[in-house]
Amino acid sequence: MAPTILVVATLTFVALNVVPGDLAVMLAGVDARAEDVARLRALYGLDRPIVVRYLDWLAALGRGDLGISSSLRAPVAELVAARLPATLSLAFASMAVATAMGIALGSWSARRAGSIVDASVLVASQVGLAVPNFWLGILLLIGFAATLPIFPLQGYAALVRDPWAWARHLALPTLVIGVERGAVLTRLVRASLLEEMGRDYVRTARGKGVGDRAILRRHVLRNAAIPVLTVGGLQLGYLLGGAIIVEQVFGIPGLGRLLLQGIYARDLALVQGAVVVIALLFAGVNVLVDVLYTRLDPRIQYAA
Amino acid sequence: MTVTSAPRPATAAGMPPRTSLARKFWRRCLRNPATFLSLMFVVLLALVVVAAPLLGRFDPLEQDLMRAFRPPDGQHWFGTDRFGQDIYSRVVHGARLSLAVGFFSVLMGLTAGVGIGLTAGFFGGVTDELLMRFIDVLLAFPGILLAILIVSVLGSSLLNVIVALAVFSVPIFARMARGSVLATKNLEYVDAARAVGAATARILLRHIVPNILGPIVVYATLRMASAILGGATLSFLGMGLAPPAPEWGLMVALGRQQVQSAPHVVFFPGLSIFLTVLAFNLLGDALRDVIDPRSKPV
Repeated sequence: MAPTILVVATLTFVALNVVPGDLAVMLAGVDARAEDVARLRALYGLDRPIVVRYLDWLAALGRGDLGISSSLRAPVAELVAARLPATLSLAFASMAVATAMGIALGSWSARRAGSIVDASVLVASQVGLAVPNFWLGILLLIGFAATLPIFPLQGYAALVRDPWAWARHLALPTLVIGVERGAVLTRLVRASLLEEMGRDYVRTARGKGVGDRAILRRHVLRNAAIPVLTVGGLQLGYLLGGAIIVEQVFGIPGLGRLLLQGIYARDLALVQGAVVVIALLFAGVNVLVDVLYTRLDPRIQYAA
Repeated sequence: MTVTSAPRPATAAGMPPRTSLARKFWRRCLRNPATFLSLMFVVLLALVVVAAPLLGRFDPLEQDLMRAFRPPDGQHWFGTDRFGQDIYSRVVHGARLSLAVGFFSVLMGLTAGVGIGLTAGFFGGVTDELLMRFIDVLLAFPGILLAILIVSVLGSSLLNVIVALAVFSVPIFARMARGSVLATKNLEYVDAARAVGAATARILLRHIVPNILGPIVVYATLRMASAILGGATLSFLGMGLAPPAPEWGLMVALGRQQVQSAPHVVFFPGLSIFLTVLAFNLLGDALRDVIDPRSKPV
């Protein structure tokens, strides 16, 4: 995990620091006076060699210091921390919807494999995968926020301050991501259930007279959970940074939107900081999934 | 049929004759309406791409503020946008952009990915370790984040969008190619080829790559869908093509402000993205069932 983060951080730094053009000029504006440009260059440390800047940045990163945002004029770590609740709420709520949908539809479809129900679920899941989420989001906003004013058009409310407003703000974005991610999980649950149900232990259990329901709950679901957990974990990781588009459409002040703001404003520190935090969250979720594996399947062990 | 077919040329040992795959695919199309419809849709798209100037009823860039925000009618099938541009013509011309982005980015990602995977798998050792670590790094950026970063560094242009999405496709092809090299490089026929003095490049291209042509076709079709969606998403975020290009994602983004009074401006370009992505995904799935029935859908 640590090496991945280091490589991601390095790659991000290198990529963003070889941008053609002078950042100080970009910040000050093309018709700025030379002394203003020089002042900005000194302020953001752009007058030092790139290797020094890199090592400095890395050392600061180790201390949890992500630098100062040039466009928002605040410490990046604070900006990121302020955006985390919205992103985490959206990611976990969406994954809850997606998981519930995936398990329900996937097992419904697997138990009737080959039937019309199964075929319809498979096509529906393809539809869920193919809908551009920004388009679905806009359509839902027209329908359920503008035409029928059930949900708010834009924004976010903190859970601790007003749980009801929080839920109303998150309902539509959660639905958009839930449909997309749920489609993936539905297909996966179906495929892994079908695979497990063809195994010898299922036949043995059936031979002993165990009921279908018990076989499914006690044996099959447990084994089928492993691939589902892998992909679910990956998706949660994706969402921590990958809800960028949905955050943008629904005006949710999350990490992804902060990153976009940074990119639009050419705010180096902000972009670097946001990317590193997103990669960190992504790697963290993956580690968590690995730990969960060993709980679900005692056969899996990791060398220390 | 009573017509006797000409004797088939001998194929490589164990390889089923080629016609059977095409026939199997066709049979699946006839049996499965979703597959049939998506095949028809992709054929239609190909026609639209070729004949866009004939099919578009207006110049996609022609502005006329006198006819702004017209709802769909007999003149303007999909209505007009805020500059009075004909949305139907823009959607038709946009098909060229979207398919070009999809096709060339997948081609680029496929070439680079398969190249990396073959090299890593065949040479093993340090080469393998280094190349696959590089692939892991690409995978450490969740979702479309890497493409966003690449475009924001390189600047937005058609070529840069293609490059960014190609990088996004590299890992999957690299892993697939590496896996298949590892599975085949110690088989007898490869040893035999080496024993008669075949060069490494020849062994890879003539004896190993043909084994993965099936999965390559399947993944290329599926990646087309992801790349088209990715390209539209980048444009939606303002990181793809610049206005007034008739790019579907960009059209959705630009129509957002007046979406309540003129929903058609957003609806038709979005629907085009949706149907195109859906068609390529369904087609990829059908190809997988025919070519590689044992593999699991992901």
